[in-house]
Amino acid sequence: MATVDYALEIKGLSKSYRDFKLNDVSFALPKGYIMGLIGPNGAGKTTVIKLILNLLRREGGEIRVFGRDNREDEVEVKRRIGFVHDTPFFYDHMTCRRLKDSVAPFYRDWDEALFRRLMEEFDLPLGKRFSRLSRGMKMKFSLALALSHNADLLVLDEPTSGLDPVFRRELLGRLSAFLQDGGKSVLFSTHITTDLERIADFVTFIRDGAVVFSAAKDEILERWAVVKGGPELLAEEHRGLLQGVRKREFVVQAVSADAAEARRRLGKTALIERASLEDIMFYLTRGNGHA
Amino acid sequence: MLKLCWKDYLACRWIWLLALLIFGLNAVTPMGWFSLAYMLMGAALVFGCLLIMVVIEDKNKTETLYGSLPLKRSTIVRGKYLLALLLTMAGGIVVFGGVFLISRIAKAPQLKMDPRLMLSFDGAVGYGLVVIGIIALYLPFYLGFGLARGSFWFSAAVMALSLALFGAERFLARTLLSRAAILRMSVDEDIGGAFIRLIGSLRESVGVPAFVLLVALAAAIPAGLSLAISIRLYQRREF
Repeated sequence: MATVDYALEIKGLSKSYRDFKLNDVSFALPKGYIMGLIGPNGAGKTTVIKLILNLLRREGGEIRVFGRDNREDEVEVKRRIGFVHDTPFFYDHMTCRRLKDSVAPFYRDWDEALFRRLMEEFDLPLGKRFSRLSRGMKMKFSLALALSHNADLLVLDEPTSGLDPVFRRELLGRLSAFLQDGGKSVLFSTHITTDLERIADFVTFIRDGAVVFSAAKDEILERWAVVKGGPELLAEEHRGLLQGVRKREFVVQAVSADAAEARRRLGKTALIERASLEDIMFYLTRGNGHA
Repeated sequence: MLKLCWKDYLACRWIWLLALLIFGLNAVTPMGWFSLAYMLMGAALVFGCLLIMVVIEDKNKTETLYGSLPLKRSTIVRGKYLLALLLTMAGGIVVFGGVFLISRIAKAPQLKMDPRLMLSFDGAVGYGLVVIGIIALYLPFYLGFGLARGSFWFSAAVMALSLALFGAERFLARTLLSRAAILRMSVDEDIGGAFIRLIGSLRESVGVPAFVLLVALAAAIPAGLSLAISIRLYQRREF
């Protein structure tokens, strides 16, 4: 049952391609928070985002934005979403001013003064052709458009990929500022997990088209641990406790979704460290499954 | 929908201007001073402008951008048809204006190739039906399958249709209408003029009210059918 407390609710989402399947994806983003959507390349992050924007046809499941179905109430839902695609799709030969002129009329809450202020803040010249902007500038321009129509939910697909750290920090700061205006929410897909550790409240990890976990970031970082030890970690009794096992000659490394239990059972024989989001993603993607 | 036409105008206006200049250059060459050339050039101008929009859209993948905006897919499709209609009207002004100017400048155009035939109600009907027919055939392919596949299937459809029309013409020529003007032409005759005269004879034979109704149906049925198919196909597109 959808409630208005969620900016975004996805239940049992599925979509198939010849060589890829998004399978029973479910997660929910409460209003007023930032959720990071992480996963390796090809995990299905962009597919989920395109399904939210109704650019792809879902085969099953449900997508609700502020309690409304994204297909039945497509126009109203999209009016409340500000989006940034991983590749900015704009007319290359047009100037930023003309591009804005071609997009702004579709939003009844377009804030021209805010747009101009953002363009100044981002050092973006209105009269410059889009093709002459660097990737970072293109992303900034997309973000300026996404922020200028008083969207309640920002959906950003890999906005920091390929960008320098200065702009990444600037973007994260801008997103935090966006959230200060109560009730706004952000879904942020990335494989640069350090960005999320700075700002995300919730994290959803997708791998091979399926959700591995979706929870509050602090809970994830508290719950997960990296376990390093000898071949004894491969013992049958540890099956289920360890995931993403990587074996080298005399060293076995893995992550555990139950740090407390791992400490209790393996604390004397193995090294147990706090896991970062990157650790979790790395082991679960590159490791060999369970111990 | 006008907003969609506006964004296409912003994206294409300079290239459309270039197309207009090319049309103008062709229009002032004596080779083009006959009705069929004007009719085809007019259709090519409108269709060309539409293709320019389509190619620019495809090159920049802006369907993803505009598909993400607060718009229904059916609205996007209707926007394309409205743009096509506006281009047809603008193309008509250019074509008929061009014919008017040429007919003033040209001293003695050959009687069989007199472009002034275009400057009539029948000429306008001929131009409109040709342009609407081409666009109504093209847009479902483009909107349903994208530029590359859509253009391929459109070309195949045009060839199939041409063969069917040619076959029908041969059949009619041998059986029922062996004396009809349009079917007895050689290459040096103005087929466009004959087409317009054929429209004129139809108007005279059925009377103006019935003729207007027939023309409206001949334009509305393919256009409406094309729009319905395009909407259905575009709903299935993925970006």
